[in-house]
Amino acid sequence: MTELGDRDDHETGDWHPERPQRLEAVHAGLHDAVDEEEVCWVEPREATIDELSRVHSTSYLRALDELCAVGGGALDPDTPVSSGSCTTARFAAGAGLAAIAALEQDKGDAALVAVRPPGHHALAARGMGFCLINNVAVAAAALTQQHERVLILDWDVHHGNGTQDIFWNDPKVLYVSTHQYPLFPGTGALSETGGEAAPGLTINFPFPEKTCGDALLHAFDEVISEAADAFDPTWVLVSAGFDAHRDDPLAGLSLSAGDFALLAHRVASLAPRPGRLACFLEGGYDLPALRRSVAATLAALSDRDTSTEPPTSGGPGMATVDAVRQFRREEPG
Amino acid sequence: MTVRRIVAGLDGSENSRRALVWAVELARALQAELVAVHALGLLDRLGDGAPLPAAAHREAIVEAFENSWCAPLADAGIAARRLVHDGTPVDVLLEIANQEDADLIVVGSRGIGNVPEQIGSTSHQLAVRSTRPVAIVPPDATA
Repeated sequence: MTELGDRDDHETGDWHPERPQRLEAVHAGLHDAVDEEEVCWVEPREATIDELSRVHSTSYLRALDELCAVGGGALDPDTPVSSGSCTTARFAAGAGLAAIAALEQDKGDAALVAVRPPGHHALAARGMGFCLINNVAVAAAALTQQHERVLILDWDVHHGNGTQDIFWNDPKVLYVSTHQYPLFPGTGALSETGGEAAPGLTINFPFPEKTCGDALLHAFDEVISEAADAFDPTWVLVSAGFDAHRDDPLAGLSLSAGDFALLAHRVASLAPRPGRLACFLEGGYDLPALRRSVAATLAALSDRDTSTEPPTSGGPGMATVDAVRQFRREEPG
Repeated sequence: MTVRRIVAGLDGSENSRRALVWAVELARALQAELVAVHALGLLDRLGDGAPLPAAAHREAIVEAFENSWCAPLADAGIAARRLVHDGTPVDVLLEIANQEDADLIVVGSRGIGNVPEQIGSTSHQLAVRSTRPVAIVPPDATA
């Protein structure tokens, strides 16, 4: 477990849903799920320019620095930046790298990188959608440089356009996203399947509003497991947004905390062995739901069941899985 | 050159309304079609209050866009359409301008929550990224 603690100096304003209290909810969820002595706390560190520039342009990183240096501003109407945002974002990205290093040293079976700002909307040359630095991409790029093969599973309710774009042509990364569609950022159609150098290595499940957890599990059982087997990842990274929860104000899927527990079981089964799974906090803006969902996820990864919310079923979304499966058969890449 | 289609970005601000009025006058003079566009982000505003989750207020935002923000289109005597699309304002405006093969993109110089001299300004980013002409309308522009 790695979290920012007093290094969180990213101020978004009292009204903003991406706020520091989110990390307090995650912290509480951790303690709901597991005992303190079971947790290995990993100190975050600041990612270096070299580490960040594997996925971001140096001109963007410089522009971000300059914006923070003048006191902040906004990257877009959704994405405020304060004077401390750059340092916080670098620690957020570095926290992921520290977690990976800890797992490589056999200090745990799975990692939770509890950081903000989130990352998966951040493009190589542009932050957006609350995201400044693409944390999961920085970690994946560090791993692929070591010749690892990385599966990124993104269950945030919004499509991870930044992560998809960064690894669009990278044959060492399989990117899979389950998300509501249409919804911000407007990308993530099932026809988006990867570039010429990585055909079929992007898989999108654009689920309709009110989709329940059973449809996401169906996606795992019918498509994702098979694709992961074929890809044979050496690491599994999760863009773990919890805004697909039915109580979340920023979207309209209908998952419960219990669904995240089942999803966590599924992703753990895709990792080649214990110690090769890291979950990165992305979205999740209803604080009680975030706490319950994190607790359910961590309990599942600890082979416990503490979820107070049963899994959900019966909504739309099954047809989306069938459409993705059919599309992959007709256009395998 | 001929200007056949103009894309105008709206965010509910007074400046974007003024830019739309300017675009309406231009479209009328050039007999061009005007496509009014609103980008639905993660957050959005209705009126002067704090930003709201866009998904939870989608219907109200679309209603405000079509009936209130686009009021200058009513009885303007020009061909006009209204489009709402998910994404950041810059991405959406560029995408729709390409889809529509627009000859000009019109925005206000300062929308809600943006400071023009900073890298996040919608008008600044449009000017940098667009391959099509962009008209940035200042608050005191006259049609």
